[in-house]
Amino acid sequence: MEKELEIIFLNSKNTEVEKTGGGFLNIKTGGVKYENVQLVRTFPFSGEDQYISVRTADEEAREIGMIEDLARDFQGNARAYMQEQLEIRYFTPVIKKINSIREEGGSSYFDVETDAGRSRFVIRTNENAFIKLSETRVIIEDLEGNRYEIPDLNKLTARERKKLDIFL
Amino acid sequence: MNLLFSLDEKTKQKIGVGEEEIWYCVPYDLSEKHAYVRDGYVVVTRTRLLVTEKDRVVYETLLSQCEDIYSRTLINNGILVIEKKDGTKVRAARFSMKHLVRFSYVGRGAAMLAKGVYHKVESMENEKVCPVCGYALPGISVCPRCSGKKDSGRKIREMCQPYLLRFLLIGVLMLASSGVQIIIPKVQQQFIDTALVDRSGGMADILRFVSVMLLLTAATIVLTVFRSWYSTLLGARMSKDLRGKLFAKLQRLSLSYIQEQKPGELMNRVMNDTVQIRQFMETVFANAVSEFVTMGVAAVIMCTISWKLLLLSIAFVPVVIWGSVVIRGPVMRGFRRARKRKDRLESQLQDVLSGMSIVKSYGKEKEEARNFRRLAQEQTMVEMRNELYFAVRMPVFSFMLGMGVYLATYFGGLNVLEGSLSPGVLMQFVSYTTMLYEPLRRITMIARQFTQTITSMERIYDILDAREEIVNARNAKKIQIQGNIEFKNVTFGYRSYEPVLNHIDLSVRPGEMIGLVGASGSGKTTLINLLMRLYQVDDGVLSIDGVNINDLDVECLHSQIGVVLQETFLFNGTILENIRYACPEASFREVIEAAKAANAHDFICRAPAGYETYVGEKGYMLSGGERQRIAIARAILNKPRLLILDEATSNLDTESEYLVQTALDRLRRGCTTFAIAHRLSTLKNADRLVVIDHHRIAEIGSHEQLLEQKGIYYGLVTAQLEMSRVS
Amino acid sequence: MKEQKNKHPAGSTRPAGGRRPGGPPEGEGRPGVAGPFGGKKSFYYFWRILKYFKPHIPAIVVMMFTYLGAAVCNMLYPYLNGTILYDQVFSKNPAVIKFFKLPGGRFALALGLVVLAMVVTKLLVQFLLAVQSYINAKVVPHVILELENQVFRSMGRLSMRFFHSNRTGGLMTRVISDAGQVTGFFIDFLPEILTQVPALIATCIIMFAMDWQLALVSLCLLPFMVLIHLVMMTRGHILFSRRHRAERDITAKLNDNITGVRVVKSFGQEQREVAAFEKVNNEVQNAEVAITANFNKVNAAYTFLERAITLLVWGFGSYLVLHDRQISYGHLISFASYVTQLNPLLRLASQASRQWAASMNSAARIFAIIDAEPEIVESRHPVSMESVKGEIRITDLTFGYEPGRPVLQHINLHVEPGKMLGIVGRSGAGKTTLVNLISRLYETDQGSICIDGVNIREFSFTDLRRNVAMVSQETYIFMGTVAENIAYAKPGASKKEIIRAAVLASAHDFICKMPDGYDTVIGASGRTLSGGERQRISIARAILADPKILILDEATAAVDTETERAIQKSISYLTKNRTTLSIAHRLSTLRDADYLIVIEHGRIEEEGTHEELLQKNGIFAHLMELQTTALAMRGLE
Repeated sequence: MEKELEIIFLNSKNTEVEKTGGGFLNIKTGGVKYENVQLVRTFPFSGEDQYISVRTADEEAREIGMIEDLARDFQGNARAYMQEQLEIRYFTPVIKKINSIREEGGSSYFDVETDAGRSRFVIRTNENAFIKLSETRVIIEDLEGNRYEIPDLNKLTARERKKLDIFL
Repeated sequence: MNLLFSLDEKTKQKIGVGEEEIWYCVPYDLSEKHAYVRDGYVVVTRTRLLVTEKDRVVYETLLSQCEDIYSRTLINNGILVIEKKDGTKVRAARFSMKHLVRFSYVGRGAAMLAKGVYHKVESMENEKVCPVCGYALPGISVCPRCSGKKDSGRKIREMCQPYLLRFLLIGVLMLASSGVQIIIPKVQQQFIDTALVDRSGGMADILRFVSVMLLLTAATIVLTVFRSWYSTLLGARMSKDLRGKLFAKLQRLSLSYIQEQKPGELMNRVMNDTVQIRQFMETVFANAVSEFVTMGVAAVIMCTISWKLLLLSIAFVPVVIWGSVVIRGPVMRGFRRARKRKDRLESQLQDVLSGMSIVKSYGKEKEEARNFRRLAQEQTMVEMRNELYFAVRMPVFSFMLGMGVYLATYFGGLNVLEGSLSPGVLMQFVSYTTMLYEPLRRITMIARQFTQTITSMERIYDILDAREEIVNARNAKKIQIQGNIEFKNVTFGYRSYEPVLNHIDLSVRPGEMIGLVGASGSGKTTLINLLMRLYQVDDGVLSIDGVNINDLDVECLHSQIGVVLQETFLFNGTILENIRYACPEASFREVIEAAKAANAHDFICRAPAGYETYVGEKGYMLSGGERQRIAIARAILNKPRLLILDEATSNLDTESEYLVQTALDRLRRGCTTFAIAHRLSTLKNADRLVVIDHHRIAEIGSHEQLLEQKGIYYGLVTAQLEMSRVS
Repeated sequence: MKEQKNKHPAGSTRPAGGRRPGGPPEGEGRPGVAGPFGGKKSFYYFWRILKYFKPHIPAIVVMMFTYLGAAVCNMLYPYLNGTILYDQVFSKNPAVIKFFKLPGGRFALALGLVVLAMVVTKLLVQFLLAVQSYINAKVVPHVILELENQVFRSMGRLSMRFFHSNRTGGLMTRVISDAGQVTGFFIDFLPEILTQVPALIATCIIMFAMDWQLALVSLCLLPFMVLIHLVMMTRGHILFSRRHRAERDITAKLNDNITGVRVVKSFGQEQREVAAFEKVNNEVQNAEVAITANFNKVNAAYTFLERAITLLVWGFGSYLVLHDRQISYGHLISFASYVTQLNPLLRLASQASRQWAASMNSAARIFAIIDAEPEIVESRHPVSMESVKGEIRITDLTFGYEPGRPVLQHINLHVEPGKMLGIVGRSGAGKTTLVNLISRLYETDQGSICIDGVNIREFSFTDLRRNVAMVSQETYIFMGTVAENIAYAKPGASKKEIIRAAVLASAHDFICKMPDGYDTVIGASGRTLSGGERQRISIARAILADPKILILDEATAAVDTETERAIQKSISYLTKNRTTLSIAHRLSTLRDADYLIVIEHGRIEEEGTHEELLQKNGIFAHLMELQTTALAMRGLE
């Protein structure tokens, strides 16, 4: 197999991780230092800490290597820094409670409690704002492009589920 | 879009910008940890950038220490990045998608200030949601709720305005037919009471009764026919006009609006939603209003007979009305659910059927059948639930509607036994009761149709209210194009915060051929789209022969541009019609000349009906190369001054490519030409090549000049030579 | 019923002859059923569809009883309302009292009882109706579901010829709307007809029993109504077709305009498009109005006749009342009610026959598919394809989509395992047809195709498909995540395997750039992909499938240099030690081929290695010449 087509796996044995003052991450692997690397989840929904692609900071975003299993391949501070970066890159508030859904003029106005605080958003009632990842897991995308997750529809109250019925 | 939110004086003092002029002030709403933030702002003054949270300054920097400032889009959020002159990179603030556009502008603005360019950046984009009241704003700039305008009323008024006279006419007919209908029971009553009950009447009475009834019946029928005729006419007219308006509007909307939607979606709006409105007019409107009138008059007459009986008869009406209101919500929900399932099933079905060859080659027929079964089952379940809902509730309604009749019959009957009421009057009363209740029954069914119609109306107005991007300036100039093209500091992005072309400077002489080269998505097609004025530049000036393209008459411009695109789109029509598309008055001779120049004449002659062969769906099948050559003929026909070629020879086999290439070479003599191609060999006759990289012009010069530079172009040429090695 | 073999497939190999002489498009042909009442075949379909209701027989029996019950109640009601109420109670006839065994003179009570009886009757009717609707709601969707499923399953069994000669839109109609249309007659009309006919007869008998003269008068105008129905119905049929065509035209125009929006705008043709649209728009309006006009006429005539009958009854009946002591006005009221009940039955008849025609038409279309025998059948005792080496041998193969017009003639070919065969030729020469035959998407009787010495007809479909994979310009990206699309052929693949396949296909980078990575939903309503991206996902799919025989049909479509380079690399990797057949226009794509053939007019004109073909100075050499000089880049001097 050609060199270009080979996957390089990174772990604590072959990679050093360092956090910068500005809140970014530098790594050193294979004798080369990479600054302000990006950590990309290849399976953000079905395996968020597996097969994380580590890429360069520029627009080309070349892959430096992959982390097969973050929990297994990195420990201590290195792992913590990487999780921080992932937390910054991926923001998906989880809806814990639906306060109200009001409909007016073709749009539905949501008022919800999420694990990041209270939020209000709008979606177009007749469009496909709800994306079903599985039978019970749903992502809602609002008018402005924000996304919210409902990890398990069954954990909502019956009344809340009924309100969501139109959209599913 | 607002880039300068106001801070109150106290806050300004607290953060130390009391006296300074604030250039930009925008809120951010996320913290580094997974939490929303309130009262956080990024404030940019002439010399500083501050990040505040609840009146405290959490980060501050001098703009002079910054090398670059920009916003970066992450997943479902964004960050403001500051690159300092000392090489460090700082994450200054984090925000949700709500503020993404704002920050991209502010980033640019702050970066300009850091470089000492004191030019204020403005955003022409509209807010998607009103920042004051949270109301959704579909492509309009003023929040209707905040400015006090109620929307759906306007829409209905706008829709019905042109037809007021017709509505009036129908109204009159309705009143007339109701009036006639009301009389009938009275006539019946008179006849029964005087003639039948005590058998005291004679032939004369019978004949009079029959003839009067005949007259009334005839009148009713005539009036009803006219009424329904005019209503249907009105409905057909309304939907035709709406279709026409929608179509015309679609022509004026920008390319990006149309390409962003699914074609099926747009077609649905023009075809199905207008049908919905027509059906509403035909069935509901034609009958509903007249029935209301009938109800009213019937009630009045019943009152004159016996107000007590009337009260008894209408005892159940409130119940029925309450019932129909209550079911409206669930009905709408059920309907929407069913529609969504149906859409899903249909698009899955379409996918599979069109991709059948691959399904088969992977042997997945059975699995797809299982998949289909699952989706179809889901849809069935939902529809079944809807139907069951109605199945159980409708009979209850029907029964309650009938109750009034029985109450009236009983209590009226008592009166008859007493002798205070004649049987004829009772029968009349009962007929009127029926007239009262029948309309109510129909109204409960209307609930369903009404909500559907309102939804359709909203969808139609979504398009009609959308903003048009490219409009002719007030004093649009018409010029004869010579071919001088100039791009001066042009910047453009489909989404303005993601520029696809940045600070483009390019000068083209008349008759020059420019080859555009660069990676996919680097902006080549965009440049051409700007030249064709399919989009408008965000910044900078694009001028033709010294005139700003925005000041040119759009039609005049288009009539002098010839376009050959990669996607050869031929319309349903004959070859002749297709070639003449831009120039329907061209003579046969001109058409043949164009076809010859395009190397198309030969194969056209071989076609079964020559130039009159029907091409398009279900017609004569042309190969890719043949279609392309017809497209070229189409482009040449009106002798354009500006020629645009977008990947004109990508998908062709060798022979066709050769023919097309020679045709193109013939064609572009004397025209200013812009050509895009991935395969650099196609551009070998270009006078100059423009390499676009990272949204800017990286290299520009002739083939030889660029090879000498040993830069990007050189790299591409070597790569392609390597790849096109045939052994 | 064998599949229709009369249309040419709309694939990339279209011979210059085309499939239809130039001319305006014809309307879509309809199979089978003729005329408004259908032919004898309709009854055949009728019985077949009844079978689909078999599992629901108990429910249907109950429903029949409800119809019967409702009919009985409906017959009772006018009697109560008319004769009993008016004649007996209001006239204070003592017989009533005795009948109800009430204390003397208590007419009020009698009134109460009669009204109660009326209420109960109506209540019963509504209850029965509710049961009817309930059963209807439960049964019909299931029958439709079963029909839809069968049609789809049957379609899946049919070969590619069917899919190429039928447009996707038409096929979708067959699956979805035809199935619904079929049941329309059975559920809306059949039970009613079965119960109303006896009810009709019973009503007539009652009417005659009450007074034969009046009954005769009541029924004398009926034949006229039937006549109107017959005359008007055929006319209506024509008008509906007219509207259907107008709608189709306007939809086509709209579709053209929206899909070709870039062309419209770049030629500045917006105004003209609007004018053209106006024309078709008007036609639709006119067609709609014509339908209403016709409907109005029918309605007016109908209503007039209905009222005329009622008036006749009143008129003649009144005469009888006045001159014949035996008829009371209560009788008259009853009669009038019965006559009123007859009218809906007549309308029912006309609606029923229209629905019959529509249902049977749909049934014909559906059964055409269900009954169609797949052209390509699996052998009854398939040979297993365990350790396949991938040697292909084609002997004297001749094939044509239409009889008498062969696309391939007397093809002889041998590919050794693990080697790459390049196939060159003009458009329409038959290249794609050849590879389609190898994967058994089409079949021919003339000649044979053998893998490892065994005729491909002997293998089971599953085995064959597992060992032969194709990457062509047609990509099938279905609604699902990127990972699911790549793992199409191997649904149980692990994440690592999927990523590896994507890396090898040079797709990994653009997938990582998508916000949801491999979990991004793509397909119809998901994220749209560029041509190059779709291509690379197809390649990743093929890599994961790991077939012994790989077919590449112009796998490098119009993509930019970077992408093309990446794809070429992936393909080089993919084709190592794998029997590959590669079709390409650009000879550079075939430079790794071990052996080449040139197909012209359906025959192999030249074959050999690169060097051998160049020496021959034939077609291959000519193409080479064009590509290296006329179309080539200026070199680096």
